[in-house]
Amino acid sequence: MLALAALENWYITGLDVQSTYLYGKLDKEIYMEQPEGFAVPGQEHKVLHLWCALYGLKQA
Amino acid sequence: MCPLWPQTGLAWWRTLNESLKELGFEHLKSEAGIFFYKKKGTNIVIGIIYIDDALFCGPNKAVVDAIKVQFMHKWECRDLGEPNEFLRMQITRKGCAIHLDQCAYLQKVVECCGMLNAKSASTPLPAGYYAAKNTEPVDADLCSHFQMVIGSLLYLMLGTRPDIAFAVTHLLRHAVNPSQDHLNKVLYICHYLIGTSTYSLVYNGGSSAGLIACTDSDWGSDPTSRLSQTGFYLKLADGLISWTSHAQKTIAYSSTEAEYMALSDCAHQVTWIQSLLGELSYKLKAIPICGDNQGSIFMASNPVTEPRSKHIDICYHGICESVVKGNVELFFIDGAENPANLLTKNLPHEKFAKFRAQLGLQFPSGSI
Repeated sequence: MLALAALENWYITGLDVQSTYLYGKLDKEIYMEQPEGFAVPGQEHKVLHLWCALYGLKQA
Repeated sequence: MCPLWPQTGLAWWRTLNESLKELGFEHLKSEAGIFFYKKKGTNIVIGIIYIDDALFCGPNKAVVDAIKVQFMHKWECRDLGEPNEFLRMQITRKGCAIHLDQCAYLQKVVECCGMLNAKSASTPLPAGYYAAKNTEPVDADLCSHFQMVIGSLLYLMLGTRPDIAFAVTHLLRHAVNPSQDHLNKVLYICHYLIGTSTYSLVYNGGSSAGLIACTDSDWGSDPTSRLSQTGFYLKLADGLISWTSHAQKTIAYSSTEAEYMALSDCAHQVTWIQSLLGELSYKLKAIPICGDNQGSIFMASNPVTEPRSKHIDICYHGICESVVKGNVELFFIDGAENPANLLTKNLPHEKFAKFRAQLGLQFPSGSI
């Protein structure tokens, strides 16, 4: 594409989209344990149901 | 450019595709990462998006910028202006030429290998070198060191360094169980890169050469498996846009057959680029493919079955169809003049340098 841009003398501009993976909706139910230090007091045994994709998921 | 989208990547692509559709973009069928904006009465805009790295380009700055602003309303983005980087490759515009390089990354690799002040080598591997299989048990430390270095070299090779394509793929086969010799040879490639660390791939906007492909193969060069090596590249604007060096999947019974299979692999890639450019509204004439074997060109241009070619698998005959349809045109060039040679064997320096000069790789000063 850059070769084409050179031939056609196109203007090029760039963007860096922030935290892209967080935008993807998951198509499977995924649960995680509460992260250390962020557990809800008194409910430490509960797990979290993920709504969105996270960085570091196996699916990523 | 097309990644194998993992689940979250695919989920992101779907979301992105929807939002770009609202802006008037369609993704190309031949390449999901390229989005095309074409409306009557206005200039075209092309979006190239790899996960979170995005480029928008087009002939009219105002139109491209307007689209970019709309995109930025939808997504939280960092505006890079006229970009000097894409996928960690440096982009530099010099007049009508675009330079692409990974010099900074290369420097880091050399540093990681502790080779900052090491000597340079004139070719990626010694001429005629063949990496024999390691029969010793796996050495875990050596293995991880080997994999780390060759992984970095692979990234360089895929990005901007077709000159090391053969050397890297040749050694990559031994990534599971490398020997000390393999590790030494990977470092040999690093020695070569030290001497050529400032090379960049240059697309010359003033070029009138058009799209051209070159293919080559050796024959049964691997003494153990007797497989042949395919090498081909596509060139546009005087610089390579696509290159491959890989061992063929089946054994070729003759050099003609090996070259025929290389020709066929090359035609697949040409067809893809053709449909990609076609979707961007370019009407292309037959793409010239150059090879240095008369027999294979004859076979591809005259689809007659001979006793000697009967056994060739049907998947390789696509080349005949491409010729009949007029998508490609085959040309014979002398083997000594075929730059694709450097994608199929370890050449001596003189030959290597001669062919390398035709890939579009340049020193910053502008000449090799």
